[in-house]
Amino acid sequence: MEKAESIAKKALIMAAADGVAIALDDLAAGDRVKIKSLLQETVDEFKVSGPVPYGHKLSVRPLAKGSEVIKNGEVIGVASQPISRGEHVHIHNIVSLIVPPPRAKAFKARRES
Amino acid sequence: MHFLGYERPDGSVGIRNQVVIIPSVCCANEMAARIAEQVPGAKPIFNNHSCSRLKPDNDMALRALTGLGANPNAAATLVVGAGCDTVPASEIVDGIARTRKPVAYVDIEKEGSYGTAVEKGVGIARAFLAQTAALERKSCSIGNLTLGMKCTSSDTTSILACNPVVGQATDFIITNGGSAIFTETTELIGAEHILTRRAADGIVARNLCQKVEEMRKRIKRAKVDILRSQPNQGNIKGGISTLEEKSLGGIGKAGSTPIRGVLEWGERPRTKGLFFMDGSANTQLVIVGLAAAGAQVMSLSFGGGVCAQLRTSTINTAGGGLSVLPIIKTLSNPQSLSEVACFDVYVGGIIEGRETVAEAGKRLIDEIIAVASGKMTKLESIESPFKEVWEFYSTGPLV
Repeated sequence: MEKAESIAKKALIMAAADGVAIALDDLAAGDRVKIKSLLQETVDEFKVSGPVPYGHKLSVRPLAKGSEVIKNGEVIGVASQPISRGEHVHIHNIVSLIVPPPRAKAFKARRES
Repeated sequence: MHFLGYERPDGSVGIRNQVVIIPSVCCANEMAARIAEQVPGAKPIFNNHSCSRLKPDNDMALRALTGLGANPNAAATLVVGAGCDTVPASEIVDGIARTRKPVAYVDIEKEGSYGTAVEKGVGIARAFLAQTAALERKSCSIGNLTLGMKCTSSDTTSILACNPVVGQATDFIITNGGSAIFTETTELIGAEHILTRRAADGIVARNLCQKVEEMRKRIKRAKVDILRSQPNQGNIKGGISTLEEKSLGGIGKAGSTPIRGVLEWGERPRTKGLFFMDGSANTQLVIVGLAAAGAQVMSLSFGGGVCAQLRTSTINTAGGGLSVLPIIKTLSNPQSLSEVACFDVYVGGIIEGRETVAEAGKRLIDEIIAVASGKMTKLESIESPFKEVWEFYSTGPLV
Protein backbone atom coordinates (compact mmCIF):
# COMPACT_ATOMS: atom_id res chain seq x y z
CA MET A 1 0.00 0.00 0.00
CA GLU A 2 1.55 3.30 -1.13
CA LYS A 3 1.58 6.14 1.32
CA ALA A 4 0.57 9.56 -0.04
CA GLU A 5 3.33 11.41 1.81
CA SER A 6 6.60 9.57 1.44
CA ILE A 7 8.38 11.66 4.08
CA ALA A 8 6.15 10.51 6.97
CA LYS A 9 7.45 6.97 7.32
CA LYS A 10 6.71 5.24 10.57
CA ALA A 11 8.06 2.75 13.07
CA LEU A 12 6.39 1.51 16.25
CA ILE A 13 8.07 1.21 19.65
CA MET A 14 6.28 -1.22 21.97
CA ALA A 15 7.61 -0.18 25.40
CA ALA A 16 9.43 2.86 26.75
CA ALA A 17 12.50 0.81 27.71
CA ASP A 18 12.92 -0.60 24.20
CA GLY A 19 16.10 -0.07 22.21
CA VAL A 20 14.41 -1.02 18.94
CA ALA A 21 11.31 0.03 16.99
CA ILE A 22 9.52 -1.94 14.25
CA ALA A 23 9.37 -0.41 10.78
CA LEU A 24 5.81 0.00 9.49
CA ASP A 25 7.10 1.07 6.08
CA ASP A 26 10.00 -0.08 3.94
CA LEU A 27 12.77 2.34 4.94
CA ALA A 28 15.68 3.45 2.75
CA ALA A 29 18.96 5.10 3.80
CA GLY A 30 18.33 8.76 4.65
CA ASP A 31 14.58 8.37 5.17
CA ARG A 32 13.15 10.32 8.09
CA VAL A 33 11.18 8.00 10.36
CA LYS A 34 8.67 8.90 13.04
CA ILE A 35 8.80 6.61 16.06
CA LYS A 36 5.25 6.05 17.32
CA SER A 37 4.19 4.62 20.67
CA LEU A 38 1.31 2.13 21.02
CA LEU A 39 -0.77 5.19 21.98
CA GLN A 40 0.00 6.53 18.49
CA GLU A 41 2.08 9.42 19.88
CA THR A 42 5.26 10.43 18.07
CA VAL A 43 8.03 9.90 20.63
CA ASP A 44 11.08 10.38 18.41
CA GLU A 45 12.09 11.22 14.86
CA PHE A 46 15.41 10.63 13.09
CA LYS A 47 17.10 9.54 9.87
CA VAL A 48 17.73 5.87 9.15
CA SER A 49 21.27 4.95 8.16
CA GLY A 50 20.43 2.08 5.80
CA PRO A 51 17.54 0.06 4.41
CA VAL A 52 15.11 -1.51 6.91
CA PRO A 53 12.39 -3.74 5.42
CA TYR A 54 8.75 -3.53 6.62
CA GLY A 55 8.35 -5.42 9.89
CA HIS A 56 12.05 -5.39 10.72
CA LYS A 57 13.70 -3.64 13.66
CA LEU A 58 15.73 -0.45 13.76
CA SER A 59 17.75 0.90 16.64
CA VAL A 60 16.37 3.98 18.41
CA ARG A 61 19.63 4.58 20.32
CA PRO A 62 23.28 3.55 20.00
CA LEU A 63 23.97 0.04 21.33
CA ALA A 64 27.48 -1.01 22.41
CA LYS A 65 28.77 -4.45 21.46
CA GLY A 66 27.60 -6.95 24.09
CA SER A 67 24.72 -4.81 25.34
CA GLU A 68 21.20 -6.19 25.70
CA VAL A 69 18.68 -5.55 22.95
CA ILE A 70 15.25 -4.86 24.47
CA LYS A 71 11.93 -5.19 22.63
CA ASN A 72 8.54 -4.97 24.33
CA GLY A 73 10.36 -4.67 27.65
CA GLU A 74 12.16 -8.02 27.25
CA VAL A 75 15.71 -8.94 26.29
CA ILE A 76 15.63 -10.52 22.83
CA GLY A 77 19.42 -10.89 22.47
CA VAL A 78 22.72 -9.00 22.65
CA ALA A 79 24.51 -6.79 20.12
CA SER A 80 27.29 -8.74 18.39
CA GLN A 81 28.80 -5.47 17.15
CA PRO A 82 28.24 -1.77 17.86
CA ILE A 83 24.88 -0.57 16.49
CA SER A 84 24.20 3.08 15.75
CA ARG A 85 20.90 4.93 16.09
CA GLY A 86 18.75 4.41 13.00
CA GLU A 87 20.46 1.19 11.96
CA HIS A 88 18.77 -2.06 10.88
CA VAL A 89 18.85 -4.55 13.79
CA HIS A 90 18.79 -8.19 12.75
CA ILE A 91 20.78 -11.44 12.65
CA HIS A 92 23.86 -9.63 11.28
CA ASN A 93 24.30 -7.57 14.46
CA ILE A 94 22.43 -9.30 17.31
CA VAL A 95 22.57 -12.85 18.68
CA SER A 96 20.35 -14.94 20.95
CA LEU A 97 21.40 -15.45 24.56
CA ILE A 98 19.91 -18.92 24.50
CA VAL A 99 21.01 -20.41 21.19
CA PRO A 100 23.66 -19.56 18.65
CA PRO A 101 22.36 -17.79 15.52
CA PRO A 102 20.63 -20.20 13.13
CA ARG A 103 22.88 -21.79 10.55
CA ALA A 104 21.86 -22.65 7.01
CA LYS A 105 21.98 -26.40 7.63
CA ALA A 106 19.73 -26.10 10.67
CA PHE A 107 16.87 -25.16 8.34
CA LYS A 108 16.38 -28.84 7.54
CA ALA A 109 14.40 -29.01 10.75
CA ARG A 110 11.06 -27.43 10.04
CA ARG A 111 7.77 -27.47 11.81
CA GLU A 112 4.27 -26.43 10.94
CA SER A 113 3.56 -23.42 13.03
CA MET B 1 -20.16 -6.61 33.68
CA HIS B 2 -22.66 -9.20 32.47
CA PHE B 3 -23.67 -11.33 29.51
CA LEU B 4 -26.72 -13.46 28.77
CA GLY B 5 -25.90 -17.14 29.26
CA TYR B 6 -27.39 -20.52 30.09
CA GLU B 7 -26.99 -21.55 33.73
CA ARG B 8 -26.02 -25.22 34.14
CA PRO B 9 -26.79 -27.43 37.17
CA ASP B 10 -23.09 -27.51 38.19
CA GLY B 11 -22.95 -23.70 38.43
CA SER B 12 -21.16 -23.21 35.12
CA VAL B 13 -22.63 -20.97 32.40
CA GLY B 14 -22.96 -21.82 28.73
CA ILE B 15 -22.93 -19.27 25.91
CA ARG B 16 -24.45 -21.85 23.53
CA ASN B 17 -27.12 -24.46 24.19
CA GLN B 18 -26.03 -27.46 22.13
CA VAL B 19 -27.20 -31.04 22.15
CA VAL B 20 -24.04 -32.91 21.21
CA ILE B 21 -23.51 -36.45 19.99
CA ILE B 22 -20.05 -37.73 20.96
CA PRO B 23 -18.68 -40.95 19.44
CA SER B 24 -16.49 -42.65 22.05
CA VAL B 25 -14.31 -44.06 19.29
CA CYS B 26 -13.79 -43.23 15.61
CA CYS B 27 -15.61 -46.46 14.65
CA ALA B 28 -18.81 -44.83 15.95
CA ASN B 29 -18.43 -41.61 13.91
CA GLU B 30 -20.70 -42.90 11.16
CA MET B 31 -23.35 -43.92 13.68
CA ALA B 32 -23.23 -40.43 15.21
CA ALA B 33 -23.72 -38.96 11.72
CA ARG B 34 -26.64 -41.32 11.07
CA ILE B 35 -28.36 -40.21 14.29
CA ALA B 36 -27.62 -36.50 13.70
CA GLU B 37 -29.07 -36.76 10.19
CA GLN B 38 -32.43 -37.68 11.71
CA VAL B 39 -32.27 -35.08 14.49
CA PRO B 40 -31.68 -31.65 12.92
CA GLY B 41 -30.10 -29.39 15.53
CA ALA B 42 -28.10 -32.11 17.29
CA LYS B 43 -24.35 -31.60 16.75
CA PRO B 44 -22.04 -34.58 16.27
CA ILE B 45 -18.40 -34.17 17.37
CA PHE B 46 -16.55 -36.63 15.11
CA ASN B 47 -13.11 -37.56 16.39
CA ASN B 48 -10.08 -39.68 15.58
CA HIS B 49 -9.80 -41.64 18.83
CA SER B 50 -8.94 -45.26 18.06
CA CYS B 51 -7.99 -48.48 19.87
CA SER B 52 -4.39 -48.18 18.68
CA ARG B 53 -3.55 -45.82 21.54
CA LEU B 54 -1.64 -46.71 24.70
CA LYS B 55 -2.74 -45.87 28.24
CA PRO B 56 -1.37 -42.29 28.50
CA ASP B 57 -3.17 -41.41 25.25
CA ASN B 58 -6.33 -43.26 26.32
CA ASP B 59 -6.37 -41.24 29.55
CA MET B 60 -6.10 -38.07 27.49
CA ALA B 61 -8.90 -39.23 25.17
CA LEU B 62 -11.15 -40.00 28.16
CA ARG B 63 -10.45 -36.54 29.56
CA ALA B 64 -11.23 -34.94 26.18
CA LEU B 65 -14.41 -36.92 25.51
CA THR B 66 -15.69 -36.23 29.02
CA GLY B 67 -14.61 -32.59 28.88
CA LEU B 68 -16.42 -31.95 25.59
CA GLY B 69 -19.69 -33.18 27.09
CA ALA B 70 -19.05 -31.36 30.37
CA ASN B 71 -18.29 -28.09 28.53
CA PRO B 72 -20.89 -25.50 29.65
CA ASN B 73 -21.92 -24.93 26.01
CA ALA B 74 -23.22 -28.52 25.84
CA ALA B 75 -26.76 -28.60 27.26
CA ALA B 76 -27.11 -32.37 26.88
CA THR B 77 -24.90 -35.16 25.55
CA LEU B 78 -25.51 -38.45 23.82
CA VAL B 79 -22.43 -40.70 23.75
CA VAL B 80 -22.40 -43.37 21.06
CA GLY B 81 -20.01 -46.30 21.04
CA ALA B 82 -19.33 -49.71 19.61
CA GLY B 83 -19.12 -51.51 22.93
CA CYS B 84 -15.59 -52.85 22.50
CA ASP B 85 -13.99 -49.37 22.84
CA THR B 86 -10.78 -48.83 24.84
CA VAL B 87 -12.49 -45.84 26.45
CA PRO B 88 -15.93 -47.23 27.40
CA ALA B 89 -18.94 -45.01 26.67
CA SER B 90 -20.21 -45.70 30.21
CA GLU B 91 -17.07 -44.13 31.74
CA ILE B 92 -17.45 -40.99 29.62
CA VAL B 93 -21.09 -40.74 30.65
CA ASP B 94 -20.18 -41.10 34.35
CA GLY B 95 -17.74 -38.20 33.98
CA ILE B 96 -20.24 -35.94 32.22
CA ALA B 97 -23.01 -36.92 34.67
CA ARG B 98 -21.07 -35.16 37.46
CA THR B 99 -22.24 -31.88 35.89
CA ARG B 100 -25.85 -33.10 36.48
CA LYS B 101 -26.68 -32.22 32.85
CA PRO B 102 -28.74 -34.70 30.79
CA VAL B 103 -26.48 -37.43 29.40
CA ALA B 104 -27.05 -40.92 28.00
CA TYR B 105 -25.26 -43.52 25.88
CA VAL B 106 -26.02 -46.16 23.32
CA ASP B 107 -23.63 -48.78 22.01
CA ILE B 108 -24.07 -51.57 19.51
CA GLU B 109 -23.05 -54.32 21.92
CA LYS B 110 -25.62 -53.33 24.54
CA GLU B 111 -28.44 -52.66 22.06
CA GLY B 112 -27.78 -55.84 20.12
CA SER B 113 -27.50 -54.27 16.64
CA TYR B 114 -26.47 -51.16 14.74
CA GLY B 115 -30.07 -50.46 13.74
CA THR B 116 -31.41 -50.66 17.29
CA ALA B 117 -28.59 -48.46 18.58
CA VAL B 118 -29.32 -45.78 15.96
CA GLU B 119 -33.06 -45.94 16.61
CA LYS B 120 -32.58 -45.57 20.35
CA GLY B 121 -30.02 -42.78 19.84
CA VAL B 122 -32.44 -40.83 17.65
CA GLY B 123 -35.13 -41.07 20.34
CA ILE B 124 -32.76 -39.84 23.07
CA ALA B 125 -31.35 -36.98 20.97
CA ARG B 126 -34.89 -35.79 20.07
CA ALA B 127 -35.91 -35.86 23.73
CA PHE B 128 -32.75 -33.91 24.69
CA LEU B 129 -33.50 -31.25 22.05
CA ALA B 130 -37.06 -30.78 23.36
CA GLN B 131 -35.83 -30.67 26.96
CA THR B 132 -33.03 -28.14 26.39
CA ALA B 133 -35.04 -25.89 24.05
CA ALA B 134 -36.97 -24.73 27.12
CA LEU B 135 -33.83 -23.23 28.72
CA GLU B 136 -33.53 -19.44 28.57
CA ARG B 137 -30.61 -17.04 28.69
CA LYS B 138 -30.16 -15.14 31.95
CA SER B 139 -27.87 -12.31 33.01
CA CYS B 140 -24.59 -13.81 34.23
CA SER B 141 -21.33 -12.29 35.46
CA ILE B 142 -18.28 -12.09 33.15
CA GLY B 143 -16.52 -14.02 35.92
CA ASN B 144 -18.22 -17.16 34.58
CA LEU B 145 -16.31 -16.98 31.30
CA THR B 146 -13.21 -18.94 30.38
CA LEU B 147 -11.43 -17.61 27.30
CA GLY B 148 -9.17 -19.87 25.24
CA MET B 149 -6.41 -18.34 23.15
CA LYS B 150 -4.41 -19.22 20.07
CA CYS B 151 -2.56 -17.19 17.48
CA THR B 152 -1.99 -18.37 13.95
CA SER B 153 -0.62 -17.19 10.63
CA SER B 154 1.62 -14.97 12.74
CA ASP B 155 3.67 -12.13 11.32
CA THR B 156 5.07 -8.81 12.52
CA THR B 157 1.58 -7.36 12.77
CA SER B 158 0.52 -10.11 15.22
CA ILE B 159 3.17 -9.00 17.69
CA LEU B 160 2.17 -5.34 17.33
CA ALA B 161 -1.59 -5.62 17.05
CA CYS B 162 -3.67 -8.74 17.62
CA ASN B 163 -1.64 -10.38 20.39
CA PRO B 164 -1.55 -7.30 22.67
CA VAL B 165 -5.26 -6.72 21.87
CA VAL B 166 -6.10 -10.28 22.93
CA GLY B 167 -3.94 -9.63 26.01
CA GLN B 168 -6.28 -6.76 26.92
CA ALA B 169 -9.32 -9.04 26.64
CA THR B 170 -7.54 -11.70 28.74
CA ASP B 171 -6.78 -9.15 31.47
CA PHE B 172 -10.37 -7.88 31.35
CA ILE B 173 -11.93 -11.32 31.83
CA ILE B 174 -9.50 -12.26 34.61
CA THR B 175 -9.90 -8.92 36.42
CA ASN B 176 -13.66 -9.55 36.37
CA GLY B 177 -13.21 -12.92 38.07
CA GLY B 178 -13.04 -15.17 35.02
CA SER B 179 -10.37 -17.41 33.53
CA ALA B 180 -8.22 -17.65 30.45
CA ILE B 181 -6.14 -20.50 29.05
CA PHE B 182 -3.23 -20.38 26.63
CA THR B 183 -1.28 -23.37 25.40
CA GLU B 184 1.25 -24.47 22.74
CA THR B 185 4.18 -25.86 24.73
CA THR B 186 6.38 -25.94 21.63
CA GLU B 187 6.09 -22.15 21.37
CA LEU B 188 7.63 -21.78 24.84
CA ILE B 189 10.85 -23.62 24.17
CA GLY B 190 13.55 -21.04 24.80
CA ALA B 191 11.15 -18.63 26.50
CA GLU B 192 11.06 -20.34 29.90
CA HIS B 193 12.88 -17.41 31.52
CA ILE B 194 10.20 -14.96 30.36
CA LEU B 195 7.35 -17.24 31.37
CA THR B 196 8.61 -18.32 34.79
CA ARG B 197 8.67 -14.67 35.83
CA ARG B 198 4.94 -14.64 35.13
CA ALA B 199 4.31 -17.70 37.33
CA ALA B 200 2.25 -17.09 40.49
CA ASP B 201 4.68 -19.19 42.58
CA GLY B 202 7.66 -21.53 42.46
CA ILE B 203 5.55 -24.64 41.92
CA VAL B 204 3.88 -23.15 38.83
CA ALA B 205 7.29 -22.04 37.51
CA ARG B 206 8.69 -25.57 38.02
CA ASN B 207 5.67 -27.19 36.34
CA LEU B 208 6.00 -24.84 33.37
CA CYS B 209 9.67 -25.69 32.91
CA GLN B 210 8.95 -29.40 33.28
CA LYS B 211 6.33 -29.36 30.50
CA VAL B 212 8.67 -27.48 28.19
CA GLU B 213 11.51 -29.90 28.96
CA GLU B 214 9.30 -32.96 28.31
CA MET B 215 8.25 -31.49 24.95
CA ARG B 216 11.86 -30.72 24.06
CA LYS B 217 12.83 -34.33 24.86
CA ARG B 218 10.00 -35.73 22.71
CA ILE B 219 11.14 -33.58 19.81
CA LYS B 220 14.75 -34.65 20.40
CA ARG B 221 13.70 -38.31 20.16
CA ALA B 222 12.56 -37.48 16.62
CA LYS B 223 16.17 -36.33 16.02
CA VAL B 224 15.22 -32.67 15.60
CA ASP B 225 17.04 -29.87 17.40
CA ILE B 226 14.20 -27.40 17.72
CA LEU B 227 16.34 -24.67 19.24
CA ARG B 228 18.66 -24.66 16.25
CA SER B 229 15.70 -24.58 13.86
CA GLN B 230 14.18 -21.44 15.38
CA PRO B 231 13.51 -18.77 14.29
CA ASN B 232 12.87 -20.34 10.87
CA GLN B 233 13.69 -18.79 7.51
CA GLY B 234 10.21 -17.29 7.13
CA ASN B 235 10.47 -15.67 10.57
CA ILE B 236 13.90 -14.23 9.73
CA LYS B 237 12.59 -12.85 6.44
CA GLY B 238 9.77 -11.23 8.41
CA GLY B 239 12.26 -9.57 10.77
CA ILE B 240 12.42 -11.98 13.73
CA SER B 241 16.09 -12.26 14.76
CA THR B 242 16.20 -14.59 17.77
CA LEU B 243 14.26 -17.39 19.43
CA GLU B 244 13.54 -15.13 22.42
CA GLU B 245 11.99 -12.57 20.11
CA LYS B 246 9.77 -15.16 18.44
CA SER B 247 8.55 -16.57 21.77
CA LEU B 248 7.87 -13.10 23.11
CA GLY B 249 5.33 -12.39 20.37
CA GLY B 250 3.01 -15.25 21.31
CA ILE B 251 3.12 -14.57 25.04
CA GLY B 252 1.59 -11.13 24.42
CA LYS B 253 -1.87 -12.66 24.17
CA ALA B 254 -1.66 -13.99 27.74
CA GLY B 255 -2.03 -10.44 29.08
CA SER B 256 -0.31 -9.31 32.26
CA THR B 257 -1.75 -11.35 35.15
CA PRO B 258 0.20 -14.13 36.92
CA ILE B 259 -0.03 -17.71 35.63
CA ARG B 260 -2.03 -19.56 38.30
CA GLY B 261 -1.41 -23.10 37.18
CA VAL B 262 -0.30 -25.60 34.56
CA LEU B 263 -2.94 -27.89 33.08
CA GLU B 264 -2.66 -31.17 31.25
CA TRP B 265 -4.13 -31.14 27.73
CA GLY B 266 -7.94 -30.93 28.12
CA GLU B 267 -7.82 -30.55 31.93
CA ARG B 268 -10.29 -28.18 33.54
CA PRO B 269 -8.84 -25.46 35.82
CA ARG B 270 -9.90 -25.85 39.47
CA THR B 271 -9.66 -22.14 40.27
CA LYS B 272 -10.00 -18.86 38.37
CA GLY B 273 -7.34 -16.81 36.61
CA LEU B 274 -4.74 -17.37 33.89
CA PHE B 275 -3.67 -20.94 33.08
CA PHE B 276 -1.20 -22.59 30.77
CA MET B 277 -2.26 -25.87 29.16
CA ASP B 278 0.32 -28.39 27.94
CA GLY B 279 0.04 -29.44 24.30
CA SER B 280 0.93 -29.08 20.66
CA ALA B 281 0.68 -25.85 18.66
CA ASN B 282 -1.58 -27.59 16.10
CA THR B 283 -4.72 -25.47 15.83
CA GLN B 284 -7.14 -28.39 15.86
CA LEU B 285 -5.57 -29.93 18.97
CA VAL B 286 -5.60 -26.55 20.66
CA ILE B 287 -9.32 -26.07 19.93
CA VAL B 288 -10.30 -29.53 21.27
CA GLY B 289 -8.02 -29.16 24.30
CA LEU B 290 -9.46 -25.77 25.21
CA ALA B 291 -13.06 -26.96 24.76
CA ALA B 292 -12.40 -30.04 26.92
CA ALA B 293 -10.84 -27.75 29.55
CA GLY B 294 -14.16 -25.92 29.73
CA ALA B 295 -13.46 -22.75 27.72
CA GLN B 296 -16.78 -21.38 26.40
CA VAL B 297 -15.26 -18.88 23.95
CA MET B 298 -12.00 -18.77 22.04
CA SER B 299 -9.90 -16.08 20.45
CA LEU B 300 -8.03 -17.03 17.28
CA SER B 301 -5.77 -14.16 16.27
CA PHE B 302 -4.33 -13.92 12.77
CA GLY B 303 -1.49 -11.92 11.31
CA GLY B 304 -2.40 -12.21 7.65
CA GLY B 305 -1.26 -14.15 4.61
CA VAL B 306 -2.68 -17.23 2.94
CA CYS B 307 -4.17 -18.69 6.15
CA ALA B 308 -6.30 -15.56 6.47
CA GLN B 309 -7.82 -16.44 3.07
CA LEU B 310 -8.91 -19.95 4.06
CA ARG B 311 -12.21 -18.44 5.27
CA THR B 312 -13.33 -21.25 7.56
CA SER B 313 -9.80 -21.73 8.72
CA THR B 314 -7.07 -21.61 10.00
CA ILE B 315 -6.74 -25.14 8.80
CA ASN B 316 -9.22 -27.18 10.67
CA THR B 317 -12.29 -25.28 11.74
CA ALA B 318 -14.46 -25.81 8.67
CA GLY B 319 -18.18 -26.30 8.94
CA GLY B 320 -18.65 -23.80 11.72
CA GLY B 321 -15.91 -25.09 13.96
CA LEU B 322 -16.39 -27.13 17.10
CA SER B 323 -20.02 -26.67 18.20
CA VAL B 324 -19.14 -26.27 21.90
CA LEU B 325 -16.48 -23.59 21.36
CA PRO B 326 -17.37 -20.48 19.32
CA ILE B 327 -14.23 -18.90 17.87
CA ILE B 328 -13.75 -15.14 17.52
CA LYS B 329 -11.29 -14.39 14.73
CA THR B 330 -9.11 -11.29 14.85
CA LEU B 331 -7.19 -9.94 11.84
CA SER B 332 -4.07 -7.78 12.17
CA ASN B 333 -2.43 -7.24 8.81
CA PRO B 334 -3.82 -4.37 6.66
CA GLN B 335 -2.44 -6.22 3.61
CA SER B 336 -5.11 -8.91 4.19
CA LEU B 337 -7.94 -6.36 4.32
CA SER B 338 -9.72 -8.04 1.38
CA GLU B 339 -10.58 -10.91 3.76
CA VAL B 340 -11.88 -8.70 6.56
CA ALA B 341 -15.52 -9.77 6.06
CA CYS B 342 -14.57 -13.27 7.27
CA PHE B 343 -13.22 -11.93 10.57
CA ASP B 344 -15.07 -10.85 13.69
CA VAL B 345 -12.67 -8.08 14.68
CA TYR B 346 -10.14 -6.14 12.57
CA VAL B 347 -7.29 -4.54 14.53
CA GLY B 348 -5.10 -3.42 11.62
CA GLY B 349 -5.96 0.18 12.56
CA ILE B 350 -3.12 -0.10 15.10
CA ILE B 351 -0.67 -0.72 12.26
CA GLU B 352 -2.22 2.04 10.13
CA GLY B 353 -1.97 4.52 13.03
CA ARG B 354 -5.72 4.99 13.40
CA GLU B 355 -6.32 3.17 16.67
CA THR B 356 -4.58 2.34 19.94
CA VAL B 357 -4.23 -1.14 21.43
CA ALA B 358 -6.58 -0.09 24.26
CA GLU B 359 -9.29 1.06 21.80
CA ALA B 360 -9.07 -2.13 19.75
CA GLY B 361 -9.00 -4.15 22.98
CA LYS B 362 -12.27 -2.54 24.02
CA ARG B 363 -13.85 -3.55 20.69
CA LEU B 364 -12.69 -7.14 21.11
CA ILE B 365 -14.08 -7.24 24.66
CA ASP B 366 -17.44 -5.92 23.38
CA GLU B 367 -17.43 -8.61 20.69
CA ILE B 368 -16.69 -11.35 23.25
CA ILE B 369 -19.63 -10.17 25.40
CA ALA B 370 -21.90 -10.03 22.31
CA VAL B 371 -20.88 -13.54 21.21
CA ALA B 372 -21.29 -14.80 24.79
CA SER B 373 -24.83 -13.38 24.73
CA GLY B 374 -25.73 -15.21 21.53
CA LYS B 375 -24.31 -13.26 18.56
CA MET B 376 -23.13 -15.76 15.94
CA THR B 377 -19.42 -15.67 15.11
CA LYS B 378 -18.31 -15.47 11.47
CA LEU B 379 -17.27 -19.13 11.63
CA GLU B 380 -20.63 -20.16 13.05
CA SER B 381 -22.37 -18.27 10.23
CA ILE B 382 -20.53 -20.00 7.40
CA GLU B 383 -22.18 -23.18 6.15
CA SER B 384 -19.76 -25.77 4.84
CA PRO B 385 -20.36 -29.17 3.25
CA PHE B 386 -17.33 -30.42 5.19
CA LYS B 387 -17.56 -31.80 8.71
CA GLU B 388 -14.38 -31.90 10.71
CA VAL B 389 -13.07 -35.07 12.35
CA TRP B 390 -11.43 -33.68 15.48
CA GLU B 391 -8.04 -34.91 16.47
CA PHE B 392 -7.07 -35.79 20.05
CA TYR B 393 -3.61 -35.06 21.38
CA SER B 394 -1.25 -37.99 21.52
CA THR B 395 2.24 -38.42 22.89
CA GLY B 396 2.42 -41.81 21.16
CA PRO B 397 3.50 -44.26 20.08
CA LEU B 398 0.46 -45.64 18.27
CA VAL B 399 0.40 -49.44 18.20
